[in-house]
Amino acid sequence: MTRPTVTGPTVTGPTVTGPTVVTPPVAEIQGLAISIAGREIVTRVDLEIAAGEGVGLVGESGSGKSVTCRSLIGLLGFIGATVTAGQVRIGGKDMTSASQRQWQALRGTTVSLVPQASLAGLDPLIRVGGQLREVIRRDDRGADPAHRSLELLDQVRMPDPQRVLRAYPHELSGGMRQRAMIALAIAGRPALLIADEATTALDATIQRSILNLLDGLRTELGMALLLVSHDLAVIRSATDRVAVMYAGTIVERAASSEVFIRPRHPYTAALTAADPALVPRGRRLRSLLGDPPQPGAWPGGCRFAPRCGYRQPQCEQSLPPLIADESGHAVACLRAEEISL
Amino acid sequence: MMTADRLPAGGEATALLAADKVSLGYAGVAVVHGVSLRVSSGAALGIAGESGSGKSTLARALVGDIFPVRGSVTVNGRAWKDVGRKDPDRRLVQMIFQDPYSALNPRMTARQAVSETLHVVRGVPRRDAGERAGEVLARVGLSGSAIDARPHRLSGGQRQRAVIARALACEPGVLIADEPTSSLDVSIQAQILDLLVDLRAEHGLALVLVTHDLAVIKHMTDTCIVMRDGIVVEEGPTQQILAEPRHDYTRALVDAHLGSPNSIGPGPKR
Repeated sequence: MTRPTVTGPTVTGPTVTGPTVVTPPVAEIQGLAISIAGREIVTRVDLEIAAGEGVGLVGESGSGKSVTCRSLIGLLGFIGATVTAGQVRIGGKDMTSASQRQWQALRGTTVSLVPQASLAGLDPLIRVGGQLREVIRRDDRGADPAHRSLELLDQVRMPDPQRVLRAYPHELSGGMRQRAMIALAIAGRPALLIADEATTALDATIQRSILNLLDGLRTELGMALLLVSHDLAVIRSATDRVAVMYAGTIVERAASSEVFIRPRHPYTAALTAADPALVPRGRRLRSLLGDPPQPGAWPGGCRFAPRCGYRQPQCEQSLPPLIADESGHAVACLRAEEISL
Repeated sequence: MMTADRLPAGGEATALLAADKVSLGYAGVAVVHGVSLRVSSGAALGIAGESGSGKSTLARALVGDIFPVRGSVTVNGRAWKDVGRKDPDRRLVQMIFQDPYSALNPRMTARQAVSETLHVVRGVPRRDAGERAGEVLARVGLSGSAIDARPHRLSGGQRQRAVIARALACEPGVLIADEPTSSLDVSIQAQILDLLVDLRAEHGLALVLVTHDLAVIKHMTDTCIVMRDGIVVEEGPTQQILAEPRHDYTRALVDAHLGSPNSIGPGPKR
């Protein structure tokens, strides 16, 4: 899979021509099902992230995208969620029923997470420098904490790094705090960085600079990036491939350059037709009727069927499988072949 | 600038809502400086800006919630401070917000909220208000059990519809919407935006859309102003501003929001 053309700090990612990937994927999810309190909130999810690859996970609130990425870093237990089927592999190693001790060995050094921008991600009582040194001592043993702290702040393009090291989180702007969070997340040189709505609460111009940063770090550090967002524009601009989630399942998976221009699942098509950034001026937004189902209370058959304009009786029989064509464009819709969107 | 010097001299009807060199502040700290704009019947004006630009403060002044330190905001040609609580012009400008949940009384159903407004603002007798409220709610796409449900039973989109219905019950000439869809998912956002477009077309309702989201501004408005640090940095026809931004800040905003697919734009400034 080739990277979509990127203007700006262009470096072609780890050269991947064609689907031949030598190293095992950094992360791999197969047939994953996750339940919370007996309700299945994620069903039959397949996702593979190759080394250095930028993958987007897009979906609306309650679609299961955050829970899915929590499964990749061993944080399901903290929200009372458990894997009920399928497998999670990190760097080829099966982590489906791994203990917290096993996860701790990977967290920060193999897989790392940048949460949504907020004050909560940083300890309010410890200066940024102190927090960085603590993480460096844990995740990058042997490195000189003082030297490495500055190097990390430089990598996240932090303005005035010396002052920031001495600053408390509340003394930083929202954008700077998010850069500090990214510095903490990459301190252990992870192979995969998960950014879960990492730019959501930021102003657009700051959001864009953080996205540029994540995209730049991916190439600089050869790190894979899983970008989770409800914002199509964010996903489109910084990923190679996208998985679209609806009601706990992946409904479509394809190249980012392709999926919003030639969507093949009616839900993806509806999303693009409802996005004012993608719909030409003067054309009506084509809004979806109704609300998404409540997590766990899914309708039978195709979960999008009740809101789908292409619904037929067969759609309500069973959950359609995600089927890929030869180009790798996968869609979970019984009628994908016959309908033109 | 859409300032007084470019307003037609005398001739045309007064704008429904106008701000003339308005400066606003809280506790002596100025947050909006010398902003002028006018909204005529059926117009759609966008106020774009990021956090701290003063756009929401300006919106509060437009609805008569706060008074300018300097300059004036006029509704139907009259300054807000001269329009009393029971004045018929008071209802002409209505406002909806980002968080519809906090705008609704948790103890009132959608129908009760709207009929209360019909009774208090429009003088509709209580015995008729319930039925009339049902009609207004149907108009915004709320029907069935949602009409008689309390806010906590409604989805985000349904709550915003209820709030819009309550504003419509006042029969306003201008609806000011401050980030009306920012807390909603894309597909629900589209429903609300479509509804606002319809209301404008059918009732000649003027819209003032306050948002950080240029895609929404692009889609919904004819003219817009771009605010930064309390001043207007650029204003004019929306299409022109977004296609050929002249101010550096507007250009940065346009790049950040409407950059072509897969373009990442220039790297962050060091």
